[in-house]
Amino acid sequence: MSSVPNLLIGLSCPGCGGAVDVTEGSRLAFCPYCGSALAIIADDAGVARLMYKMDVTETEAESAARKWFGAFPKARDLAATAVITEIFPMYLPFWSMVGTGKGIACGYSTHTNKDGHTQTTYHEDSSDAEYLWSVIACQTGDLGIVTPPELNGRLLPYTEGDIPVFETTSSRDEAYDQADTDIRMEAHRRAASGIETLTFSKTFCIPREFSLLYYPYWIIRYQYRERDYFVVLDGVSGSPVSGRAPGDQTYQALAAGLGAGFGGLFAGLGIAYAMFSDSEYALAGLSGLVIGLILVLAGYWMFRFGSEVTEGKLTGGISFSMKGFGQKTVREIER
Amino acid sequence: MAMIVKNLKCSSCGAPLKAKEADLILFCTSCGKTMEFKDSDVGEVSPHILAPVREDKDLIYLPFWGIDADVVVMHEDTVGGFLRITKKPMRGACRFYVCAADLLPRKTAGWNLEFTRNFPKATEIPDFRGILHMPAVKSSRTAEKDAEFLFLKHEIDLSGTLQELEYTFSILGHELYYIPFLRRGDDLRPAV
Ligand SMILES: [Zn+2]
Repeated sequence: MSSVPNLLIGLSCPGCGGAVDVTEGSRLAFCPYCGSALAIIADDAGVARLMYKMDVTETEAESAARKWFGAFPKARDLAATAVITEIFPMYLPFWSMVGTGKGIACGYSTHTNKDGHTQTTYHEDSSDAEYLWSVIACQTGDLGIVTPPELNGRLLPYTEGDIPVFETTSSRDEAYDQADTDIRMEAHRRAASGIETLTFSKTFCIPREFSLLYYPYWIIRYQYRERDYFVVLDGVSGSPVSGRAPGDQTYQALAAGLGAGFGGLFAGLGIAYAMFSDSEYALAGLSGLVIGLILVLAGYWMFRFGSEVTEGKLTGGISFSMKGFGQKTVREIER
Repeated sequence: MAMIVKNLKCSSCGAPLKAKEADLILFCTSCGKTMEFKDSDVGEVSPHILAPVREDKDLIYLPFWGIDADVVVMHEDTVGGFLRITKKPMRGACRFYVCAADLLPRKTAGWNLEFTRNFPKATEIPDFRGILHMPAVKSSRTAEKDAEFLFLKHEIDLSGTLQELEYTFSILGHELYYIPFLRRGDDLRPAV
């Protein structure tokens, strides 16, 4: 669930030069000084380009990174020995739509009673809600930030060249169509839940705002025992969104040892049970064997991949953070 | 690539339009005409302002679009249900009311259905009589989709369970309405 972001940007009135506050995505504004009604004409592509204000300073970003170095289960001497080689701000573009999704779904479900009779239940349902849709508009390479941030903070108009940005690689029309499809799908999912066979359905997406939003990050590259790692921090909240760090060899060895030890114990007990008990207990013995094998594998996995710890949506390494997981690009707006 | 800002002028007399907040409906202070903002320009609309049942300091006007559409149903299949006496199906030339204020569907859905089924019989007055009005954020064009959804919502509310429906929904036109509401804190209630 998400609340409506603070959507104010600053432009100046052509009549009196006063600062004009515009609701993000809106084509209409007014001057608070001379009261002129103004039409906002967006760029060639018809997209309002806006940016969020960077709230985290370089010093704050560095101390947040050092705090992250010290957090479990990274190498225990990481905070003390890591050498920051690069620290720079970067803005990533996200497509964003605020719109209402409406759905109608009709159909039926069947189930069989205890006496073997088939019963049919007929359904007619609807859904009607406002959504915030957002998705990343660029390729991030090894940084791995793909989840749209909670869009909060102060919005400003974006001027090309003012800030370092990742180039937008997806097209406006594609993004618009995707937003339309995703909002409709969410509206349909809600209306059609519990209906086995659909006989009629209709969805609507009524967009209110569509824009390209630049969101600030701090990218920090560092070295540990002559190997390169990185961490990316949210430029509004300062929290880590993505990163790689060396794992701790002690935890790693411990995990592998415990895995093999307990795994072997369970497997041994399992085999013993299966061999020396009645058939009734043989099954329990077999499941002991399975649990044992799983523990051995888990221990091996910790040993094999535990040399690296990752944050966010990156492959390889052990991730103890659930950030970025299970987050959808369509969220309902509540206010 | 930056955004361009343009002054809006009355399409009837050419005077610059003034506003106190971002409202898709603009009132010309020079000739008194009402303008609807569309994309990057304005076009004239005639608002219908309904008189409140009684005077109250907490009254506020909410903008609604009255969307006229021609509804043709080619095929319909409904399971169960009784004679449709209390709620009649909407066919032919119909009027749908869609709230244009900046409120969530959760709040406006009920009013939209209620006004579409049973529009209040109130006298129209020439101006707001000093009562505040909420800005309109939904354009008449986007309200057309809301109107079609209202038609379907009404269909499934009818007696019986709708299973199949084939229809056409053609827009005939739109009108602007201002309906008085009583505001107590966050609560809004029609005052007609
Ligand atoms: Zn005028």
